[in-house]
Amino acid sequence: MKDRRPRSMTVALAGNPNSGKTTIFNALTGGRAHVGNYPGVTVELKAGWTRRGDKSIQLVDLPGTYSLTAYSAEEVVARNFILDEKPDVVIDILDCSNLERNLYLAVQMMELGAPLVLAFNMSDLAEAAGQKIDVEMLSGLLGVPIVPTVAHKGQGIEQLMAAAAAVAADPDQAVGRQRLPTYGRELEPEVARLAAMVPDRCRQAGRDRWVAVKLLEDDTEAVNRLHPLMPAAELAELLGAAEQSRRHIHSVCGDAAEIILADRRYGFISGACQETVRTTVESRHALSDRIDAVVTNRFLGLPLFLILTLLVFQVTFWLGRPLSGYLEKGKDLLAGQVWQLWPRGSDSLLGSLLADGLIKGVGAVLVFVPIIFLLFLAIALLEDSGYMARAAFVMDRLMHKIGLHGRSFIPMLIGFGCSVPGILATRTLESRRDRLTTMLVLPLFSCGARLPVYVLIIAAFFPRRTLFSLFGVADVTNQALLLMSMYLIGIALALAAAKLLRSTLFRGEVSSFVMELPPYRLPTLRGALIHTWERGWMFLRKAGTVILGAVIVLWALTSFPRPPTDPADQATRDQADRQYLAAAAKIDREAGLSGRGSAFAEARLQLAQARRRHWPDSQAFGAARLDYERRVRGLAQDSDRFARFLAAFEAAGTDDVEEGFGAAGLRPAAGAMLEAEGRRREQLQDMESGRARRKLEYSVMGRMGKAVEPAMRPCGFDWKISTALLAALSAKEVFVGQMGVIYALGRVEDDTGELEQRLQRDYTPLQGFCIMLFCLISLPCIPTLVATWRESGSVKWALGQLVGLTLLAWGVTAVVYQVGRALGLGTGLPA
Amino acid sequence: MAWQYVIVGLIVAAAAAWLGYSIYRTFTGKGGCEPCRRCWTIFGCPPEQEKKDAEKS
Repeated sequence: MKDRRPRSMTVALAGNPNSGKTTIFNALTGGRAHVGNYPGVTVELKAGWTRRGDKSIQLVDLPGTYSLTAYSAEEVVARNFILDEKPDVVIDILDCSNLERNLYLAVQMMELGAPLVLAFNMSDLAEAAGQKIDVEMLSGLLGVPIVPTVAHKGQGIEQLMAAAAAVAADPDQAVGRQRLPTYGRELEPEVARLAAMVPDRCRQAGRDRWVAVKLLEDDTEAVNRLHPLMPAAELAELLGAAEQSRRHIHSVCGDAAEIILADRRYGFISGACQETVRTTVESRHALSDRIDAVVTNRFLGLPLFLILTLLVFQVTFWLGRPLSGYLEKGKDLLAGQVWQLWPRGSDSLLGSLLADGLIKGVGAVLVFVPIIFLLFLAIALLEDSGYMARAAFVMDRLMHKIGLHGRSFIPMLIGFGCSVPGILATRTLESRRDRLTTMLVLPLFSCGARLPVYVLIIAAFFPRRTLFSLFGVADVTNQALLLMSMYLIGIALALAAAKLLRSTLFRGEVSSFVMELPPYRLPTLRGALIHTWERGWMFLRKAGTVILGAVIVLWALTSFPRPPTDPADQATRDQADRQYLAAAAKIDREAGLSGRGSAFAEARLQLAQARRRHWPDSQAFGAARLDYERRVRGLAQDSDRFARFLAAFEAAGTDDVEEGFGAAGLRPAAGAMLEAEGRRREQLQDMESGRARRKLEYSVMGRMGKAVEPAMRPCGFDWKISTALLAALSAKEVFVGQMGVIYALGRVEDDTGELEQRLQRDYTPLQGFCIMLFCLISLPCIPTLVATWRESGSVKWALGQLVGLTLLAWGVTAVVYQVGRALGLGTGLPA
Repeated sequence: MAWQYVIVGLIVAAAAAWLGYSIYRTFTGKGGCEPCRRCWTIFGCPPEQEKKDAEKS
């Protein structure tokens, strides 16, 4: 169809059937039109002319379609016209009373790259039906000019043509302003992959992203357009890749790519309409809409979000803790087995590296794998169901109050897994101010690396207590509540910091974006497990790489230099033995045991020394034990009185002594002997503790910790915690690893307590809470710093983030600790 | 026992060198692959990913 009249522009009219397209066409052309057929099809083509000022405008009335798929000739003709004839502007006429459905075509036009103007027709009917549309806001969200019209009354037509002329004046800019839907983390990589394979010369077939989407939809028409533009082999490779992508999407999402794409488009539309359309009459009918009426409700949305989060943490703890407990026991068993390769009490370097460094260091982190995987699984299920998009929507109102858009919450949500991809996700924010603000505060959203720290501290200092029952379904414990509170504190601090930044360094208007609300869907188990594994694998790989390397280096720094052997230690040991034997001799005399009491004490001393030198299940210890029993039996056989003393000694602390046997009379003597043994044991333990402490303090790490300790004391931290926090800059999990190393290296003989129990001995719950707080607020790790540096394009922002977060962490923790101490919630540092 | 010092020294030196190299790769953007560049491993990314990154750059 060629009209040889000179024209200033060509305007295509598109829209759903019965949207008023023909009315507008007639209003503009005065009803004068050429009617023909598109080549090869029976679809009618209508074209007319109009004038605006000195401009002559050709109007083409495209067939009425609901979408631009390839299912009908009308749809194919409409989109081919846009691709081949390249009209200067496309006016999409929408029936306002059915806005969401009509917007589907508009979104597809935007994907196609058509320079677009939207005519919101029948706006009078929509208003009468109780619908209020914020046209300006919606226009901003979509990046497309919108003009309300009442075509049958001729209202809005001039404004519509003016908008069309403005778009036609610079169509490239108009297309550039349009906001396109994103297809989600399963589909976007596939779209990007296929788009990258579409060569530039295929522009005729449509822009590369659109072609990629069509390939995922298995659109044969779009493929036919590629045939003349690509060599067969190249096309075959592209089609093969598309088939692969479709299969992958189907296996992960449980539905065809075409359906997921449609869902995402509707999610985009739904999100835009949620923000801009107010219905005074309840008209929701779709299930997703009904659920959203509650989930995104102004008053219910946030409490629901909090309850759901609490449930997630509760289930994670409930299922994960027992599993972690088994791993903890296994780790200690393995470390014990390694040490048995060397004589007991050996100071072997290699043994220490293997058992104290690798097993107890890296193992201390790996025991949290069950909890971490469970949490990632829960998050994956929430994401795949579509709920997380609602969470972002719910946060949108809050974000607006601090000068950000809810879209900023999405990188922050990602930051709950890891800060680095969260910071990278800020690329989706167009405004540099928004990007920088989000990037700088994002680390305050507690990442997965901090989880082992929280779980360790909570388990060590806050014994499990059921607080209340949630709707009679689940018992909520103090542990789950405390874990959730760490996340909430992080969110609160992030929002406060963002508000401060937006009020000071980054003043400006809030940018607008569509908050997409894809329909709810039942997550597939396969999809959820894949997402869980992806995140969990990163954690495991980090444990096997950076944490492993860091723990080895930290072990070396905590083990060397070794202090010289202190002769006072041996002297203390000898003195303790002498004092014990002297006490035993006194008891022997007073109890009338005729030297057998002293002999008994000597035999027990020799057994204790054998226990120090040999492993319990070794042959040497077995022989020593037999020898002890033989000697004691011999003493008992020689003397009746000693036999009664022995009976009292073995039954000490119980009521198991027969009065008739007469042993009860020797109970005080037996008790005194036990006390003497206890005193000897205490003296030796004190000596060992001191030796272990000196060994740690003498090391490089100890000296660094001591140097930093004065600055950290106001926060309630001693040198051990300070060094662990320093070490945690490489990766937050290393805090747990380093505490594992410190307590393994600083272990005292016969002390088989787990890490949690040892922490309980040295610190208070208040200090434990402050450790968690400091870990929450301070920078997660060096890669976060580097990511900020690269994404902001300036090292000053990265350094500012490091300094700011460190000062904030120190300040908040110090205040909490000092106030807590003043209120009597915990004592200070150990003596 | 001197042999223990040698073995332990080699292991610690290797860990320190590898850690330092990983930090260097992170700072220079050479570590890992898009999008996060933080795999922290000297073994790098799968070959297809590295090839894609090379084509992009």
